[in-house]
Amino acid sequence: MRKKNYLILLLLFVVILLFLFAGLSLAQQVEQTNPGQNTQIQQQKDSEKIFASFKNIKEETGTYVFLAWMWLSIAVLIWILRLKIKEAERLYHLKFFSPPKK
Amino acid sequence: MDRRKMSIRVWFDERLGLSNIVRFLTEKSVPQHKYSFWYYTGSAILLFFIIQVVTGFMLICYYKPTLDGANESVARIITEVPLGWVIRSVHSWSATFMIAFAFIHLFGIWIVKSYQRSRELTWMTGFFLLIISLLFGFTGYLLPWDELSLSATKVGTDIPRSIPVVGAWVTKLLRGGEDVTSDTITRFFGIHVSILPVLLFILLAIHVYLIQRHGMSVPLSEERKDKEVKTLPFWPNFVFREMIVWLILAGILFSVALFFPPSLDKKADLMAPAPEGVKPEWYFLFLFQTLKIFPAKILFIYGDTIAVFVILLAGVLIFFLPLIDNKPGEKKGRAITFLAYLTLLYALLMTIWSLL
Repeated sequence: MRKKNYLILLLLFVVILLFLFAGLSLAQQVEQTNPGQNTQIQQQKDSEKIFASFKNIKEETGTYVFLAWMWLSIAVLIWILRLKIKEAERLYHLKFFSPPKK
Repeated sequence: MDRRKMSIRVWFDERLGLSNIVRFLTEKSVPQHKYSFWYYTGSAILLFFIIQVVTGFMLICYYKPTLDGANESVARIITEVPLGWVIRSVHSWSATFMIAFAFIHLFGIWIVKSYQRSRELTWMTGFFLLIISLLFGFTGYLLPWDELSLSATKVGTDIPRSIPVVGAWVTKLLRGGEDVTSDTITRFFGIHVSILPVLLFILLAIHVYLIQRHGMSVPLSEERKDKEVKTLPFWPNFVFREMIVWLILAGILFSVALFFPPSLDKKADLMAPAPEGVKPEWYFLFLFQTLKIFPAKILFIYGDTIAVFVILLAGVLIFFLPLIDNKPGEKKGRAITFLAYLTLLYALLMTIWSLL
């Protein structure tokens, strides 16, 4: 039952993310294919836009390395937390922290 | 007490009484049932808000809330400041995730009816927190001072004008004048970094206090089952689970921010006409589309005025929902639950329609 709940939550989150991205890409597509827009003006507008990007290869590589390290750390931390949860559940069922019965 | 054996922890505990807080958290229990995953949505909002505050502090070091400096300073953050674009992207995406989870949290509470008797004020403070989150998004949207943000703010601050008597005054108060000018940036910046955070902290404190006082609610369908609802201690059992959720969400946020950073449009020109197809941020799209579907006039009243009143009425009804839904187990309660799904569907459909 618990796995089912996690799956539902994950699915819901993925659906919302997909919805957001679909919305964003749809909006971009509509903007690109909108009839009657002067392509020259559009190109000029695009050239005046500032797009965020890596400044050099060093920054790009460093960021990807950081991303990999981040997900690896998250995986390790989740593994540790799962062990701690198991231990906490075990102690809870043993009533380890409950006050002694009088 | 033997001072030689006194540890730092004991020193702080004597002065702050931390062990009482830990004892309270250990004794606090969280119900375990098939709807328990909804309990994680509230803390997810808190995570994104903390990220907003941290990245906001970093951005404030370089941002200039003036007519000449706003767009240039954001451009500088993106192009010159080391990894400035990453911080800006995290700030932007964290706002999106925070508001998305605020809506998920609201609909979750509505569907499982956690606002039942004695938790009405928790719902009401939560509703205000959602409004403040939306205002954060609205005020923050103008700050880059590009063409899109200027046009969207002009449209957004024009909407209250359709309210009779006070409408024009509200618009003037928001803009700091008749039109969107440099006064508007300064005003929105002040609201974004000082007034809204203070209001949010006060309401959040009340909201969290009420949750601690009344505990986590159990859905009606679970309460009606014959068997006792299983619980587990908040600390450390539930907190460790929440940490896992936080880690995954933070990982997703940073990954999305790195791969989909927001761009910066051309600097806003107060004299230029609004660009075609101006749209607000995604969380206002369903309201934007609702305003568009109303005709120009209905009988003798302007369509805009009626639309704004309909939206305000819906907001008031949602605010007073716990008092309206006073018999959650009966036919009325089931109808209100169905209304939650209908509202969600309406918002999604209107959002998609506005993007087409």
